[in-house]
Amino acid sequence: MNCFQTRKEFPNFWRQRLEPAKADTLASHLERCGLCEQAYRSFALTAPVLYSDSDAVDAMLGIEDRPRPARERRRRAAGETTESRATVWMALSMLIAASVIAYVAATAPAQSLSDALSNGQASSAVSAVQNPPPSSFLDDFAG
Amino acid sequence: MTAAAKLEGAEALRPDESLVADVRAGDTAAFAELANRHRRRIEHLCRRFFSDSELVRDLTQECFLRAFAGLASYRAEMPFAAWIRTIAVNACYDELRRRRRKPEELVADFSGGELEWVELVNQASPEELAGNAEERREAYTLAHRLLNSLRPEDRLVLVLKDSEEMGVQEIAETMGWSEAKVKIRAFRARQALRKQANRMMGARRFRMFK
Repeated sequence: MNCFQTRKEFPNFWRQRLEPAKADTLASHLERCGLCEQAYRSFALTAPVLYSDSDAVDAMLGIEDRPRPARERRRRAAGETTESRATVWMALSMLIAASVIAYVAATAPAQSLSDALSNGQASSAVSAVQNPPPSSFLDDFAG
Repeated sequence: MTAAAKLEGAEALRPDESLVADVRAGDTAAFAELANRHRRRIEHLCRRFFSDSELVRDLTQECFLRAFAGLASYRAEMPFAAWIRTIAVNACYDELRRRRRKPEELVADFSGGELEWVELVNQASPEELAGNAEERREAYTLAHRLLNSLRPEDRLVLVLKDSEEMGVQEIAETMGWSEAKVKIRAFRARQALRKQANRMMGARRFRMFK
């Protein structure tokens, strides 16, 4: 295999479509010939785009085999991007979460329901001290 | 086999030209079938020119829109597959010309992964390289960067000749150029690529000793 034949077979060698015997011959030529080896390394820099199998590139890029949904096409045509939508949704979610937290903080009871039920008497006593009935107030005044 | 399945089989075997006739008669669903058949091939062709997946999808859709709009001018002497490919090639060429070439960006900065890949290209055995490239996104992005440094017409000829395996005469007919122009462009493209590849390797050495 001469240099011309070797370089002509670079694409098939890259795509691993050469018969094993021919691939070995090519590889041994590359070991002997510095110019062809350098040419192959230059070739390898663009081969991932020019010579790689398209399905393998799809798999490497994680591209699904489906057309873009019509709704997404319309959004893009209107100049909207997925990123801008995501930002709006995130801002809205944060606003709602902040409102819920503020509401809960303002209206939450000091005791849990079970605590309030079990300490019902004590609570009544405390409230009685804080807000004495009108009769005791009148007694003190009278006394 | 049920009647429906038989009908489905017959639909699958219908030639493109028959579907084109249906579209011309007003059956737009037939065009959806045509688009389904050829979409992936056209996407793959566009991906040889551009690394941006969104752009590739947009271009593919533009091709089919152009095809639908121009279906009245389609002549059956050319297979539909070749006709839609010509539309795609022209759409990609238009997009390449719209973009400014940035040869200076090529050697400016390698990412870590790109530098690793260039190192591998320099050191790995020839057999190892091919298998490795298919798993490395950096190999793909770097190849696009290298190809981006070419003039649009040089890149076009290179992709059609090497990736699409089109002959000089076929490329000349597709683009409306002379065969001599195609040959000159192919030669200049390879020359420019070699030069850029050497610059890239030089930049790698520079980065290594920095």
